[in-house]
Amino acid sequence: MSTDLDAFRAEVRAFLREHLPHDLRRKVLDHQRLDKQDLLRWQHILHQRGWAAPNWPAEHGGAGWNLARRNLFDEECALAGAPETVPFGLRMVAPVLMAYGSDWQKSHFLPRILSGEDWWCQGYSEPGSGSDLASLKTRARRQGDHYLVTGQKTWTTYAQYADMMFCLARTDPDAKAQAGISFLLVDMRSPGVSRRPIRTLDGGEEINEVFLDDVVVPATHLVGAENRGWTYAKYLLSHERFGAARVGRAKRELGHLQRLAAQRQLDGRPMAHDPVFAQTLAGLEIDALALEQTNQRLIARDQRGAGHGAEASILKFMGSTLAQRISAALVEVAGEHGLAYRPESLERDYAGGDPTPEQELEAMPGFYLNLRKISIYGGTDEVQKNIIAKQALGL
Amino acid sequence: MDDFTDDQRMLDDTVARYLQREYPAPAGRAALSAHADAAASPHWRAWADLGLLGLALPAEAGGVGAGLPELCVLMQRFGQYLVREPYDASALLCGQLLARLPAGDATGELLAALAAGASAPVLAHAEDPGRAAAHAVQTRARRDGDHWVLDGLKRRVAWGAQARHLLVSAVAPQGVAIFLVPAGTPGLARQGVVGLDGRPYADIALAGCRLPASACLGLAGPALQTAQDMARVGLCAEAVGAMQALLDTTCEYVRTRHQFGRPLGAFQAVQHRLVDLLVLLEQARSLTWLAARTDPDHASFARLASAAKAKCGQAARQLGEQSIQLHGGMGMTDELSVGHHVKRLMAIEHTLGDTRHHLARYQRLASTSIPQ
Repeated sequence: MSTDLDAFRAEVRAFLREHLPHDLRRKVLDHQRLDKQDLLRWQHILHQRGWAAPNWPAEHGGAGWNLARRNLFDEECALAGAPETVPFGLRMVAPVLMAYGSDWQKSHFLPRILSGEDWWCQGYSEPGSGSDLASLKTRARRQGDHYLVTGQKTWTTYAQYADMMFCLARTDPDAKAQAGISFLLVDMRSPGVSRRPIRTLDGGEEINEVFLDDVVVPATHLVGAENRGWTYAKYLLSHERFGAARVGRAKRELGHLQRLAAQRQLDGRPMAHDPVFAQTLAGLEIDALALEQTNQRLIARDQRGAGHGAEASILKFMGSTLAQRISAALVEVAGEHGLAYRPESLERDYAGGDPTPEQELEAMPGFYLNLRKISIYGGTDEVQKNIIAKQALGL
Repeated sequence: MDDFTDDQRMLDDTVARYLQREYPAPAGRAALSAHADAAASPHWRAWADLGLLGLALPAEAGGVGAGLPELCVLMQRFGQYLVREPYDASALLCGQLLARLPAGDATGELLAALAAGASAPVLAHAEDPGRAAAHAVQTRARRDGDHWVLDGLKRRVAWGAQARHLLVSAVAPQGVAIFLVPAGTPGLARQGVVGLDGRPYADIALAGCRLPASACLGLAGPALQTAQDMARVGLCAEAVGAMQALLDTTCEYVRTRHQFGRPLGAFQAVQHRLVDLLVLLEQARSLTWLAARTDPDHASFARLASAAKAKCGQAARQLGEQSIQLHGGMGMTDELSVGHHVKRLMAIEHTLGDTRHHLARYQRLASTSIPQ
């Protein structure tokens, strides 16, 4: 490892030590639900340092880091227990705007995304259109200098906080599935936008149904060309190989698991020494090592232009699988303490100090249940496998 | 692997070109004799001429001075082409062991003979696993005047029946040491059998084998441990080459074989299974190259070698079974390369410790480094 990177690592660690608030850190390490204020607070801290957007080029206010630095930064943040910045603005719509947006869209929206002034949500899935996204029915009719958008979106994460939504809508109902879709930027405060929260398995309400009833969207909010939205939508989902594997999160949770397994007593010995559980633990450690190496290898190969195009899918699938296995092992460590899980276990008040070991264990089923989502969102495991079979194996 | 250095790419091309031109596919090979000697193989001589046998030996021993990554470049190709000669057991394991033992006339001569292809020594180390703790040595070496006398039984030594030189581990008064036992030593009895992967395996009995004092090449210690771990990583690379060949062959088969009016590869059940195999292979490849690029003398090397061996074992089982399954009835026949790759992978699994052994070893070696 170069001294340059070593110095950078020291800089990142010093920054995290000094600026990552203790209560936020505890919340992340304990898998507690973060609210808008928590997430924005961290983004503001990063923004002040110029580190809110490691993936953006410097010309748009990004950190402009190379891959090695981004890897290092992500890992250090994850290990330290920093919240992950919300992806919808910074990592989803922003790259699309940079690639396909108008000059006005870039100059207006990008700075607001960077500063956190606008909170974004994603308007892709619909009740009848999940994996088969191109079958979506939300309509956008052009009337003069604006569109009228009507339809229903679902699984919309943080719609309750959102100022803006990037939204796929059908602009040509006669064209074949993918051909008649446009990519629109919808102001969530517009008349005709309403929502209903969806309660999930863990008792949380981070996702929503969003209803659009003749919502007026100015034509200046159309990204790229009309009816070309499918291209941009796919770009958004697949251009970012980086970060798909979530190596930092896996390492943090594995460390968490190792600590708890060493502490928790079972049959008169630490659970880490139980032969059956020890084997589970060794398997997870080895696979975390494999994930980290595969992540580096595939990204480097892709950057050399030697990839097959399914790298992001492979990394997402591998990363989700491992994270879910680790979360299952955490529930195993919690054992019967998990029986006491209730939705409030993920909304602890830290005013009275840090949680007791039992409270920590009680919260595990919520984390496990919440993490079931990662093999479903952003393209299910099954959809990823279809992509990998086609692009990497030529089937 | 896709990020070779220029030198590694040249080596890879050299090895691939040779094997493609000169090395017959499994179906076209004559069976080996149970008492074959690798040094008599024309390929072994050719590899000596190409500098491959001394690839990772120091220059003063007649070698090229390359390292474990280069050995793995070669072993991947050997896995792909199903090479039968004991590069792993002889050139790699014995070469590294000899190079790491104290320098002496006997080790120097044997290293030179190895690099030149004149001898293909093999290590006789494994014994009956049921008799003692894992990989413990029961063979005894006792001093008798100016001589050593060895007694013991070594099991399943690949290419051991006819090798001109054996490196035998035995418990000496100072600890486990390595002894050079030449063919023809009175009291040495060897019985070979052609095994699972078509390679000969020998049981070797040593009954009062009298050897000169110079036959003791040194204590096994870290030299043996490091050489074995290097050989394990080499076997992992061979397994990766074999698994890639299986995946390629199977993908090609499901693209061309039609049933129900379409290629097998058009069925999602088939596609998703192949993707699972690809992911396993990528994991195995990543861990193999992580270990290959670690300094063999670094403290973490043993743990990484075990991680790679355990993962390759898990992956090989899946790749093997599913490749047969997806080839249908054809997968059961001896005429395709599939079964030959599967059998070699099974043999690798049981060479230098199986998956179970290496998972346990990984745990043992990792347990000191759990973060608090």
